[in-house]
Amino acid sequence: MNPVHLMLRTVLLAAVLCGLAAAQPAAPLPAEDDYYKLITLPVPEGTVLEIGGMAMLPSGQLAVATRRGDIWIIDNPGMAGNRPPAYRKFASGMHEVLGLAWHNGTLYCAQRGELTRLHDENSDGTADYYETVYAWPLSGHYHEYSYGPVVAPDGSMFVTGNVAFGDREWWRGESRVPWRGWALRITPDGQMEPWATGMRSPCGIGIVDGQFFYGDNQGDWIGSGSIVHVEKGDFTGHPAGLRWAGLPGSPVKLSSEALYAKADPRFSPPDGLAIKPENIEQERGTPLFELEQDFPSIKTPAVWLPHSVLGISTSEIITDRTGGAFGPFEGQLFVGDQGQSKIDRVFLEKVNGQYQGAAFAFREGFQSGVLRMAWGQDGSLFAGQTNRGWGSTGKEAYGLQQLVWTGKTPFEMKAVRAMPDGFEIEFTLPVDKASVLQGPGYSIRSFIYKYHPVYGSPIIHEQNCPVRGVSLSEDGLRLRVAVDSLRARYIHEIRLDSVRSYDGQLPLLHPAAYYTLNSIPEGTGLSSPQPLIYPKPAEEMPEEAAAPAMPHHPASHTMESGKPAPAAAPKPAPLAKRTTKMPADWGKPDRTISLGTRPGLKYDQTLITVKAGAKVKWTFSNNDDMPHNCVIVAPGAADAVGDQAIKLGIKGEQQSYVPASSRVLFHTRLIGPGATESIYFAAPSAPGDYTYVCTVPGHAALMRGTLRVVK
Amino acid sequence: MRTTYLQGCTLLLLLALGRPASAQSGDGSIPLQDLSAFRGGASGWTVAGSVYADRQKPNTLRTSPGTGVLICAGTGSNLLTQAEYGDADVELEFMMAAGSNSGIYIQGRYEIQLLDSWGTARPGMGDCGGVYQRWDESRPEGRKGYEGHAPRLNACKAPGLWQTLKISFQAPRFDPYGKKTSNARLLQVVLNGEVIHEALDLTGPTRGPLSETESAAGPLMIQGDHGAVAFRNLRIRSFSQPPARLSSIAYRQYQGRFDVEPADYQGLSPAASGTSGELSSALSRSTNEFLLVCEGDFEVPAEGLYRMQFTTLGPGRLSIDGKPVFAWDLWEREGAVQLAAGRHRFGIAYTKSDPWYPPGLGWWIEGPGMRPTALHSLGSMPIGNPVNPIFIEPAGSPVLHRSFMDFSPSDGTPARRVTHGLSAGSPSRLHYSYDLNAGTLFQLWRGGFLDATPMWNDRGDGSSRPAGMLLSLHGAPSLAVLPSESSPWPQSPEAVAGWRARGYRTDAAGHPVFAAELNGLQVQTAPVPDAAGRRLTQRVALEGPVPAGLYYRIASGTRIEQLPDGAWAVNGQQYLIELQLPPKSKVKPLLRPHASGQELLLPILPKSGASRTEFSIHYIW
Repeated sequence: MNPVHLMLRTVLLAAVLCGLAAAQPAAPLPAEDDYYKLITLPVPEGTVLEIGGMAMLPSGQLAVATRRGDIWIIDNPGMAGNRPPAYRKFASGMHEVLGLAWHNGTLYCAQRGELTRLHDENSDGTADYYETVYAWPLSGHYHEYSYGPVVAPDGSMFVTGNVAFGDREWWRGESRVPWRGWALRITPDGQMEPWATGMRSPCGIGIVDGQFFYGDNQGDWIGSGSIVHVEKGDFTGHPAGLRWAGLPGSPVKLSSEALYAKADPRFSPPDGLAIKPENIEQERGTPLFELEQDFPSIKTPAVWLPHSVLGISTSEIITDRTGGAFGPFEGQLFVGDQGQSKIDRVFLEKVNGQYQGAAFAFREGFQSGVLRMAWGQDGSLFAGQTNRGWGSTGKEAYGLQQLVWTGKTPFEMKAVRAMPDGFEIEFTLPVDKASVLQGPGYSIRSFIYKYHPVYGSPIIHEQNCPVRGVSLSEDGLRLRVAVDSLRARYIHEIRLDSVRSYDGQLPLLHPAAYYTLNSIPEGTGLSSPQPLIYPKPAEEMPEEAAAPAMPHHPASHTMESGKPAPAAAPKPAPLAKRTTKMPADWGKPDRTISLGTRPGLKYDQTLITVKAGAKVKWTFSNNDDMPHNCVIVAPGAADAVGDQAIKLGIKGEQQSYVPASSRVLFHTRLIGPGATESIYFAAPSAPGDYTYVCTVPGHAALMRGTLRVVK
Repeated sequence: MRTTYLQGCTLLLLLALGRPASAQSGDGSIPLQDLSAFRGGASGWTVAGSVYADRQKPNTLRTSPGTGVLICAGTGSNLLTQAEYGDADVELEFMMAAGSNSGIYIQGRYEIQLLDSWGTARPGMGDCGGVYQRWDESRPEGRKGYEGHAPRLNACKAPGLWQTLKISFQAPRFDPYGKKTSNARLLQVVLNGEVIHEALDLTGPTRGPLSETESAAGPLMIQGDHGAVAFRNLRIRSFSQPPARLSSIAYRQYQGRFDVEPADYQGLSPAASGTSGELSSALSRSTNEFLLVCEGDFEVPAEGLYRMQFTTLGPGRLSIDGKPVFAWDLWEREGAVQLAAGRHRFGIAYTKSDPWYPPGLGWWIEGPGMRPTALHSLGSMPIGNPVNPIFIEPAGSPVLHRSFMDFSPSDGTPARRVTHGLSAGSPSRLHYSYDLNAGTLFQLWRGGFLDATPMWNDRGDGSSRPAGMLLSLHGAPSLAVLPSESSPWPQSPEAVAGWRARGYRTDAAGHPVFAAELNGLQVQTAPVPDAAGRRLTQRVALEGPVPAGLYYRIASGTRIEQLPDGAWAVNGQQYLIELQLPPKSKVKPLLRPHASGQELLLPILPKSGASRTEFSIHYIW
């Protein structure tokens, strides 16, 4: 290599490491859109295409099922010849369809209460026999959605069902009738076999490697989204469905009582007020896997999808069998996410008989919540979308988009494989050897979630995995990383921020992988790892978090540019951005504002007017069934602060999803369902329309209101 | 004080819609032992014990002796009450003879038309429930009639069935010189449970009034010269008194948490105080952690017992003349208090310390001759936030839609949510719901098809609602094998061994044909409304081996009786069932009692091997 070139490269790299990259005028880095293009399919006006199920037919037509109960058959979904697709209503009147499959020449779908086979007996292009294959009981609770089917290699089908919620304990998932919170295996002739339980909101299902997998949504007992390999008799974590484990035909050998003896459900006392369980911060916290010794039925996730980093509501699981037509990820999984309107990628491997693997961000920016996916005949990926009542980062209520590989290979971690002493990372493109030796560019940490009756979980038992050394394959495609402190059963975050591609010196399009290390492979480690290079200790860059608390002119350009404010006369110390006790010198607040929530990612007020400088007591009460915060930001800053919050990654929850930013003026902590917090602040002195916004990932686009400051 | 989100929501919903239940301040019933409540001289009116309409013969009612039913032969004159009424609520039941015509004239001047409009597709002002048109002889020919008001929908039932009509009427108002200051107004008209008019001003008497001159009071007049009609349960509640009112309201608002009302306000300094013309929770400057105290004058027009509802979102109390009427408590409470005519003092304390819900203070009163009145201002209680409704209507062919359906059976069995319901909408505007699991047609309705708002707005709750005049049947399984003739009928499909629902096909016209199996017996059920939307015919076909003890449940109700024409009248002539068996069938339906009434069962004769049994049930209503 040309030494000058190398030197330049090193300088550039150092600049990147020092966080000065933004200061360099450089060509814009390639983005997801350069590799995978999103094409939005037109939808006939008046057609509410809230997609709950999708199936590609052998004819190349795309069948789409909706929550309005229709099935549309779409001709020419790939818009060949630049001709628009044509929609034909094949079936209608069904009950909130959330799954669709093509099997042996007919369409099958799950309605709320049954698995249905649709026949077109007179071949006129519309269904004329809605055959009940198997009907399951329901209590009629709104949350009792049913998903599927997915078709196993033997032709049997899997469907899953959501839990209901309690009346008194409205946050608690409960199974009111048999098989809610279960996966059922149903044969086309209507024989039903209860398969497994522990599901809370099992929207994401798929057949992977011939096996049944499902993904769940964060909630009570479910610390984060994940995908789980579900074998007969498994218990995957949510205890509601265990109520039926004793029924004839149940393969699950675990009782609620036995589980609750080890994992306190924290039921409310029978009389008096219902008390919602909150996270106990000082407790050690038990991960689900620690209960496996007592209860062998427990099945922990094959791959965790860390909450807010890789989505907030796991949906479809689909395998790339395009033979390379969709890019370099043949054989890998794509997992949709409804709330963050995106698709993750999962590399799965089997170690010591257990599925495990790595999850990566793949493509965001879909128009609504990604619920279903189907492969086009051309190797493109159709994403069927809806967000009804839950909201999503993509603001449309529904949509149908096609994701097309441009033919250009993104620089990505193609795969991460577990090794006895660490990981082997395979890249899509050769890497620059010098860049893999930069010690500060590595961050490998492990963590896990609590198993408790609380909604979601903080990250617990976090630990660093120092890198002992690395080894790069001759072709520059495989990097072995030997680390200390590998822990089986933990999620390992692997960040490679300084690795660059050999050609073009590109950073990884997505520099983080999340490897769920269910089992550490046997064998010997790397014989002679090459040690990493660490630069001499340099001046530490001040982190924004350490920046002085917010000034009286929050939106001033002085702060925005990061330059120190000019010296001024000493002022009383400003309040912290989250001040939960009324300042002693206030006497009383000038204004007391109570803000609540409404379902569907909304605050209950969208405009609040205060006088400049007024002493405000701001009470935020979360009466929704998911956590929210309330962050008051400078005028026009809500989008940017929302994006920053998403980028907090796994640290997000600990920080209440409040990024350290001068544009954040005041904020509450993350407020769980049913909880409340009051903060005190002096309203900005500059009149204007400020924004209060929920920065929980996926919420910021919708959940916001205007704080109007007037003179 | 904490309430959960759901409880809070329910509460807010109740409060947003809530009005005190009608008080019985003088029942207003018109005795029908004889005609003494009516002015003399009317011809063609008699009193009977029961009545039956010959549906085959126009204008024909057959009566049996007794009292309680007012019969109009249709060939006499109009009937007028002795009493005169201003503001009034009129409730009655009526039965039309086939093809008959009558009308209810409020104050003898404003006619709500009664007509056999059964099956009329587009009801006009001259149809049942219409406000008949006004008439002006001076206008050109063909335009003499004007300003009639068609009902919102045709909620008319078949002749021979009892129908209900409720009219809330506000009389025209006049200044001391007799000049009209506000029109007569139909606050609400409800025909067979369906609102057909609401908040409708009537500019003057309709055609054929007692007098063309409007007046503060007048008798109720029933048209007696157009056709045969019967009435019962006639009730007229007169509201002759002006509403109660508040005045000289002084308020004080304190900031902070008050779990109990301070025993002594001395030493507490209010954050705000003043006087107000209105009682409102909004007199508090903050929306939480406040205590609002309001005192003032309260005037009632007459001595009597006044029923009140008092609602505070958070703790509060109400006292009148220094005596507590509602002690320190939460949410809604109701009570009654005896008051002398004239001015009283009231005192209210209301506090709120929970951020969960908005402030709300409501006080309703009704008393002798006084309509229920809100004493608080409109904005004192939270106002609901209705969403744009989502309706499903059949266009040229039937529309089928599955949903959860909340269902109240009419045979005394408990209300429940049908989870596997399918509703079928027909262009003839006669619609029904079928329980796919139980294999049972459980309700019919006429008018609009489905309101899908609860299912499709926001997350929804999976349910839809009938958008028309509803007839509830029973919801139990249709077919069952009974060990003996006295075994109770199973109430769920799980209790019918071997029953398996198989979904439905659609026929060439788009009507569903429901399929099920019972141990090898194939069951096909095809409900089809007729073109006029008058009757629904359910064809049942059974193919295969019939086990011993198999019955089909034709009807279940509080009361079932067979009429002279062979039809079965259910629940006191609320609806009719005609059973159509194969020509040579000797099978007799079995009418037997059950816990809450009676049921009509059709025995299916046992057969082994291949066989086919067919019969039809006609629902007429």
